[in-house]
Amino acid sequence: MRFLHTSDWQLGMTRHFLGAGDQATFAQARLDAVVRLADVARDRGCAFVVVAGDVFETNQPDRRTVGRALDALRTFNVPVYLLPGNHDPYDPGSVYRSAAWREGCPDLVRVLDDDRPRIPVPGVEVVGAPWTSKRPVTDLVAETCAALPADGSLRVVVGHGPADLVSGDFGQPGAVRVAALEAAIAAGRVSHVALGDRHSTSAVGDTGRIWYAGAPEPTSYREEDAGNALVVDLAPLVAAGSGPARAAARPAVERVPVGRWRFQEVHGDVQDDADLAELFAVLDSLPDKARTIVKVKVAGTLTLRQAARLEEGLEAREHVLGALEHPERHLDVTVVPDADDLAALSLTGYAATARDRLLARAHRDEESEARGATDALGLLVRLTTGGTR
Amino acid sequence: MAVTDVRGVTSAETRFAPEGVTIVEAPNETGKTTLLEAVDVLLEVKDSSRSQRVKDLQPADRDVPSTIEVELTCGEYHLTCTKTYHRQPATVLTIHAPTRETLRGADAHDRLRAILDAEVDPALYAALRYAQGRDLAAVPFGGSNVLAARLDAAAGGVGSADDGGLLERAAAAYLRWYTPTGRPGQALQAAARELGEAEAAHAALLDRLDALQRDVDELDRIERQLPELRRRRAEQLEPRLAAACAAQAEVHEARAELAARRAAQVAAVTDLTTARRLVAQRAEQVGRTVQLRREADAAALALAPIRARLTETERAHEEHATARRQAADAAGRTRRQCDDAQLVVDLLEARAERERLARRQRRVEELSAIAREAEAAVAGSRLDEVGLAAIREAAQAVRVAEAARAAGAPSLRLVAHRDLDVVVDGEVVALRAGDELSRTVAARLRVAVPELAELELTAGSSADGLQAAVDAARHQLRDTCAAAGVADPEEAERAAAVRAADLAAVQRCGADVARELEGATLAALQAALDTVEGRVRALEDRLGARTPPAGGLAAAREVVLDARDGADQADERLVALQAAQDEHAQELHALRTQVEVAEAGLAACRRTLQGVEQRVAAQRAEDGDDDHLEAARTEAEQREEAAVRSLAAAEQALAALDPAAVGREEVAARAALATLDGDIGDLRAAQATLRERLRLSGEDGLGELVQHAADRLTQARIDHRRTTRRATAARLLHEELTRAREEAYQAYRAPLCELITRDGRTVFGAGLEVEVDEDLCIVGRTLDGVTLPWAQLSAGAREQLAILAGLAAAQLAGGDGVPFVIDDALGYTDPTRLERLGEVLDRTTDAQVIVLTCVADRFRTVRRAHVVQLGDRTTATVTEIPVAPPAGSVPAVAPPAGSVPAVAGPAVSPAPEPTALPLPLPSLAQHPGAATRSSEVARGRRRPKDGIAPPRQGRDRARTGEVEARDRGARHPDAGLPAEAAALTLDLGPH
Repeated sequence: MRFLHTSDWQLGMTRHFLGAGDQATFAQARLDAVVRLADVARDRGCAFVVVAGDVFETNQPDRRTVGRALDALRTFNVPVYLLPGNHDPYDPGSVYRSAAWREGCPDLVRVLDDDRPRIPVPGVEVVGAPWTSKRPVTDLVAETCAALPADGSLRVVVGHGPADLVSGDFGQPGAVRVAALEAAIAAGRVSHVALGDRHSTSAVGDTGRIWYAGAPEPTSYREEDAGNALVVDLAPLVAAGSGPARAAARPAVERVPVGRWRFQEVHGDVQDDADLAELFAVLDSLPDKARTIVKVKVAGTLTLRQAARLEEGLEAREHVLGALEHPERHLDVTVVPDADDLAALSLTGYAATARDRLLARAHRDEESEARGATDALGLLVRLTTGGTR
Repeated sequence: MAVTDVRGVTSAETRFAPEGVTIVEAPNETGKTTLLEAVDVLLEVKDSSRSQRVKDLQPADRDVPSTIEVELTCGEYHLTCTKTYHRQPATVLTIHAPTRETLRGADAHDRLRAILDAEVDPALYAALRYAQGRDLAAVPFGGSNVLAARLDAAAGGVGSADDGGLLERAAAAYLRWYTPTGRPGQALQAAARELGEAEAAHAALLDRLDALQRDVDELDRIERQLPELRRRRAEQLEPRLAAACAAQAEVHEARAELAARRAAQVAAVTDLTTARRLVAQRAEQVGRTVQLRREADAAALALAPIRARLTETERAHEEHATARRQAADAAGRTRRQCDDAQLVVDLLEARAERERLARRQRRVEELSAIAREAEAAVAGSRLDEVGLAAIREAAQAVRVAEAARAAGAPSLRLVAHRDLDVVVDGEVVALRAGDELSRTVAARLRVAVPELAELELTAGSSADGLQAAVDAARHQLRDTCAAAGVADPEEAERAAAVRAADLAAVQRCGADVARELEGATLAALQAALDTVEGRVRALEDRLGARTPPAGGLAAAREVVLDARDGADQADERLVALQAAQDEHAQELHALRTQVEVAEAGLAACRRTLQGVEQRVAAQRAEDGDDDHLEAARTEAEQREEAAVRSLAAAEQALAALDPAAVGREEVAARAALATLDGDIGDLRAAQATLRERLRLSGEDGLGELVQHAADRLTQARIDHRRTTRRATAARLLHEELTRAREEAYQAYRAPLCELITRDGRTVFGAGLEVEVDEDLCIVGRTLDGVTLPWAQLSAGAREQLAILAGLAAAQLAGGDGVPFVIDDALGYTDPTRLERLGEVLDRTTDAQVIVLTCVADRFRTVRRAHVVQLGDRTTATVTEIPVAPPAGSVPAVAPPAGSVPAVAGPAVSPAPEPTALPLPLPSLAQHPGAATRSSEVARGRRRPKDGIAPPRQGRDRARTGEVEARDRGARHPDAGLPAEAAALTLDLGPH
């Protein structure tokens, strides 16, 4: 029995570093990913689809977001089970209770708004552990599993939340306790746990039956392996008499890339012009720049002119990439005027006086003054070398 | 320089001393200014130009090419440039030093421009062009970098103005972010505003989202709480209420039982009362029967004596009645006797009356006869009253007449003193004592007193007439008496008396008759008599045979009286008897009544008894006999006792249920339920409200709006930081530059001021001080303690000071300088000062000064000057000028970049309109305070207006080759210099 496991669509998410146009592209990319998920489900012969939470970025999305999401959902030809997650909990203000949703929800799409078992196909149960508030105080998934009969039947539990084993935070209320899930699997209550919340695709624990599908399109730099969905071939549990069930085989879980965007951090140690050139070369060599969001972090010591080059070089590439984030002030970059700077600043008279004073201030301890003086020197360099800003 | 066919000059060649003063003398209109303009055109305009400036060079009457040739030194360069305009245009540039080369055409022009751009200070070039009539403002050296550099060096090298426009760009960068007055500019404000707005918008949206989340939480809480409340209602409160209701029902039942038993008890009491009453009634009725019987017996017993007494009384009454009847008979008899006696009396009285009446009748008849007799006598007499009166009258008249006659005759008056008789004329007259007798003596009179005397009296003779009257009267009397049937008055009198007596008799009789008749008539009298007669006869009839007793009336009356006494006595006795009888009758009546009453009472008693007995009988028939009633009463008493016990038991049962507690519990249960229902209702209402609110706010897409707002805020923060950072950098740089520049200016205008003062003291005297502002303009002069601002100085003083300033500037610039051209000036200067100024000029050796004048004599005190006479068309001898000396060879100044040797500026005014020259504003010059107000920014902005972009010292230093030169060209595409000066060394003549 095969199904598609996905999660964390985060529809309606925005990123501040995207301009209005890129924002629209970014939003459309997430909807396109949903349509591709429908294609994957169809192509791979999945019997149903589970979306393990955070379909929407917020419980109060724009109506257009809801409308387009519903439109994308209509492309599925198998049952789709949506689990309310921490971003879109099934609370009284839930998007799933909104008129727009109820009126437009396709027949094949079900919201797992309680823990009743759903039967997408005979012989398989889908049981959801929905979030009903933003602040659950218990492990919803473990509780749901514990309440299931230990009958060894094919049963997929759909849950959402950080797994303690992954996050390392074992005391967090509402975290998914992996040990409890494994116990439920061992007891034959659950044959597979489809989780959401973590945007990176990953298996949890040793059973091979607990998985995070990850976000179909990446949403941040921190994600290690986002942009996938999981095609799962359910492995039946073999019941040993009336006792606890045990796994006959690990389920086959295939990760299918569906994402198109990338979030990439570029780190660079810059000490000279060559380093700068290399940094720019790295940026220039990035593929599919329009759908790549880059954050640049550099460290090192630069001259005034190199610092200016760094800034100019980054600014020039801002419009090529989907987005280029770089701090206004690279804290790890130390700007030290060198001989060339001074040559560029080979001023005489009062201009030289002013330059020397700024240099003196740039070496003062008071950080903001030093920075200001450095900036002023940078401007002086640009002005004396033909710039106007 | 040399020119061919330029305006009115067919051919001219002039050489200028590289240092010191060259005086070009020529009359007006001989082309001095044309020469200078030609130099400017050569330096600035390509040979192919068709501009007006070029056209103006062409001679007015000939279509010939104009050729200009200039040889000059400029920095390290020594070059000669020749340009031909209009026809066969051509340019040839020959560089003599440092490397010899020759260029032609456009290359030659470009190379010339490049050299000039690099080496010439255009501000100084413009400033050191002094022409007569130019606005006599101070010479502005502020734009001169060369001068600034020299001044800088002179001041100890603290600064340099050779910033290549750096300050302008810094100011421009500053003004991107700030206003000229230092407030944040539009971009900064916009960034701050955007940040503020983004923060506010984000905060507002967050508030809304928080509110929405609170609503969600609240609704969630409500929706979790509601089922709990409902469960509590169903599992706790409803059973509790049901139990309370059941207990209450029990209490109601017990109360109903109690009420029933109470009713039964009341009924038992009623029954008992009834039974008791029946028993009592029966006893009472039986008692009554006995009583009634006793009463009837007693009544019957009491009736017998009364009856006996009645019989006795009736008998007595009969006896009395007999006696009374006897007495009545006796009285009747007596009364009749009395009546008979009375009849006798009446007869007798009637008879007496008859007599009396008859008597009266007779008397009347008698009297009537007498009267009739008298009346007849009267009727027979003729003398009546009238006749008598007439007689009496006539007699009187006789007596009157006689009296009258007597009056005429003596009269007698006699008075009797005693009774006596007198005879008068025979007539006796009896007189009584005191009487008087009067008589008239008609004729005679006789009077005799018998026995005593006689007296005669005779009247006189006059009495005839009177006698006649007497006679007449007498006659009359007789007639009258005759008529009356009498003889004389006496007879008449007598007759009258008889008649009167008759009349009196008549009257008397009438009165008597009336008296006798007693008011009645005679007829009435007769009638009465008849009546009496009738009575008499009637009485006589009644008496019949009975004869009146003897004794007459009185006796009769005695009899009557006696009879009456007897009758009265009989009556009295009868009355007494009657009274006794009446008394008996009353007693009898009373007795009879008594008997009747007693009998009636007895009968009534017996009837009552009978009724009572009947009722008792009937009741016995109905209610049973007395024993039965008693038994019933006893039973009722037992039942009543039982009912009382039962009631007590029911009361105890009710009390055992504790109805108050049960009631309280029910109330409490209902209240709890109502409270819970109220809570549920409140929650449901809140739920509905919140659902509706969420439905509405859910449509806003608030979540995404918040994201957008957060994005906007993040971006605004980044922009704001970036903007602020850049603005801060620009401000800092600008501040530092302007501060340093100001300090430099303060330092280096001192040498200029010093030079001007030093030379000026030669002209004005030792008491001279001048004040130079930050733009190196002279703004005031102090002479012998009197300070005047520039504008208030005389035209001559301003002219002299301007030349002194230019001279000072030219000397300061030294090898980097340009020629100081004085074009036809000093027209305002008096000879003394002209002479002293000449001395100053004469001392000038380290600058090239070119004086154009039409009056050479003005400069005669410049003894070392080279003088060139223009217009003699002789070619002056060219003196070889030494090639530019190495750096440092120029005294007093140390040019930082390359050496610019002596300069001979073309003495051509580049600007036909002197007023177009940028000059310091008089207001600034006049008010040093205002000058300080002009901020660094303002100054920085004004500089470009000077139109000069001076070459940069630093670049000069850094000049290393072609690349650098190309860069310079590239970086100054907009140089647009109005005058591209060249250091031109023109020497004149053999001097």
